[in-house]
Amino acid sequence: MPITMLSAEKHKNLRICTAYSEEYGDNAHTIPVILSELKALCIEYPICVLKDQSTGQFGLYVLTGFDKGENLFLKGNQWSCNYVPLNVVRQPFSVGMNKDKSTFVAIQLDHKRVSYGDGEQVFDEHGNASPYLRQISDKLSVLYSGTEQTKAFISALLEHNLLVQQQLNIKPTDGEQKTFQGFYTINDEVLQNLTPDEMNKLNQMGFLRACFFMSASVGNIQKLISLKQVQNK
Amino acid sequence: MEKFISNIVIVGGGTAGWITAGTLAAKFKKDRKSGFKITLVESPDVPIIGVGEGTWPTMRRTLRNMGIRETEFIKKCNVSFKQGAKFAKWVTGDEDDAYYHPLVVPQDFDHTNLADAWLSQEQLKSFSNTVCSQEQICEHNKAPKLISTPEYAGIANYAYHLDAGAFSQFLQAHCVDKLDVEHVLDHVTKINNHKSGDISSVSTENHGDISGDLFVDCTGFKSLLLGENQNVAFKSCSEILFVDKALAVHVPYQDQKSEIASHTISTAQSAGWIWDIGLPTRRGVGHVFSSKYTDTATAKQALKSYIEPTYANVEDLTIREIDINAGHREIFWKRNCVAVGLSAGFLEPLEASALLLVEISAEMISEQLPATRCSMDIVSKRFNKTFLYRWSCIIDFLKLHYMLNQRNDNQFWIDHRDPKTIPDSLKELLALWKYKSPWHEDFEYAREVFPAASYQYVLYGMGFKTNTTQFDFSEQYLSKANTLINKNQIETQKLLTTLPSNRELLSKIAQFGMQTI
Repeated sequence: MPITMLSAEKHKNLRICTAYSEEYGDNAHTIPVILSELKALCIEYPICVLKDQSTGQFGLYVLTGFDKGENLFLKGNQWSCNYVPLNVVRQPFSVGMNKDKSTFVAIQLDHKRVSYGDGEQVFDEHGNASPYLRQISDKLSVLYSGTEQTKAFISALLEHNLLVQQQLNIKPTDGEQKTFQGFYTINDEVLQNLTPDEMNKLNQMGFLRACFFMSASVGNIQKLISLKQVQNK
Repeated sequence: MEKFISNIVIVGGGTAGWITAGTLAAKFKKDRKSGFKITLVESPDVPIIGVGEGTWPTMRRTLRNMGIRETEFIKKCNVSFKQGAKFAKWVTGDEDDAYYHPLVVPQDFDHTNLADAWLSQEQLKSFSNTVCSQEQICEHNKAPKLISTPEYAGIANYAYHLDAGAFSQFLQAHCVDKLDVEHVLDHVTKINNHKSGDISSVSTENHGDISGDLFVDCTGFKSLLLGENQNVAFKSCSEILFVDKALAVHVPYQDQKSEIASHTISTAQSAGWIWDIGLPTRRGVGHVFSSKYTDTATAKQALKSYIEPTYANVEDLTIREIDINAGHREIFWKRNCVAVGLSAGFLEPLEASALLLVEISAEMISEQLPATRCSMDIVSKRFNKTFLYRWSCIIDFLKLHYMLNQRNDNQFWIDHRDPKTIPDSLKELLALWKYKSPWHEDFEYAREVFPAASYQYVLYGMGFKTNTTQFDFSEQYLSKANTLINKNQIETQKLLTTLPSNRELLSKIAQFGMQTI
């Protein structure tokens, strides 16, 4: 994938389609998210911790479907809820890093969102960053700084035994029962029994409220099941 | 009131000493707030034998109970996964003569005895291939789990291959740093006794007398406390198991990408056998043999010929010679002294029983530790009864591997078949199994060292004939058995595509580590 540094010179006429579509790769059934998004996410999606199958490392995700390639929030070109995770919105941009660890805005040029006709302008006629690009680079910097914080959050969850593996049995009205394993949520009992000291420590890092957001978000699985049943009709 | 047993002194610091220290200390730490002390006295310059580069699956529980992270253990002790043993040339000695003793039990082993179905049908596949996946997993050098599988959990049952020297040091650090075991590096000069004969203390060169309520003898072959001080005699079993010497060598891999075998390979030789254990950075290879049937020079040559196809510069390798005195003490716990490890006894490493015996000894001591000296004799009586039985089970099981051979190339193999050399307990079991395959109820204890499954794998791997023709198996049994056999085939195919190679998983663990959940 040709990911290169965005340049006003080379990419002057570039436009980006900001609609959502399967074609743009928006149909993933799990989306990586960061800690600072949890408040917005928890009223829409089930939030959970999943293992990367190739490294075994935990990451923070929202569930958007039950099978690979199934995003139940994607209706044609629309995203059917109010908050779209930053990791979707930022596409096709990402944070690139130089050898000296300084960062830059990078773009994946073969991404289907990249266009030269329709879509949002990236640079204006003078070669300055468009309002759209400024918005994107803000989001990228939030994501970038949020990545380390999210890692620290997961480490804290593990350290306090706050994660528990869940098994989900889903039976669509007309389908066969399916079992989903391998996703971890907050262990409410452990959360309730934290000592004042532990709670204080988690609170100072901003992790305590995140635990409650995650815990509350589990109810959204029911919403996801409903979306699936509507889709199957 | 009588004094409580609270002060335990372990003499000797090999794997036996540290496993015992760690097991006891972890148990105490969990159960009691205070009032116990564990001291390990170790001579600074007594070389550690470092037997046992192979473990049993029990080691996972042993380490976990001590509060050790599996990732740390794997990284620091040069560990690879072991899923059983492949026995080559043990039956006829032909090139294609081999069978497996895997670590998983046959499909649905709690309820269904698949051996009967296998015995009553045309045997197109090996017994182990018919009833479980592990022979295939091992043949393809696959790992027993995925990087996303939590620590100590497995998709297929597994044990470890490890570097015994590194393991000892690793346990030491854990016991001292995390479990508050007191480590005294000093020479034990004298053992002191009460009038009753109990050990009162051990004198050291620079740390004075170290007294204790219970003394654990981990002094290796010397058996300083139980053997020398308590005068417990050694009971040889060399008339049953003939091997008395070992040659051990470390063999480098050809390159960093060489496959790491996921099982111990045991290849029979003219008067013994060669072990081959794959660690991530090297192989441990060795030849155990009987000096009555061959000489060291011939054995050395056999070892070199074995290594040569995979490592050309055999002449550069350093071969260590170790004497083996097969047998054990007449009892293991006398008065206030209990022996764990080589001080209790030693058998050839054919079924990796050395570390296992250490683990289950330490476990029983920690679980049944008497509250007072008064009750110690009751516990020691139970301990001795249990372990005499366990040692005899291991001796029987090792003998089984030898006595079922059909080789005539050396008197070693012929003599192993001689009924005079076979223990009565084993003869009885074989008489039972002449017309009926091994099953759970054939054994005395609920927690056997070798379960019925192990006997099935070895018996039917070696071509033992159980005549079940007089049984008219029900349709219900046969159809259930066939369903399980088919299920096994499907599962095997699935596992072969999903499991990573042993090396692949080990390098991922080195890079990312495993999660605890």
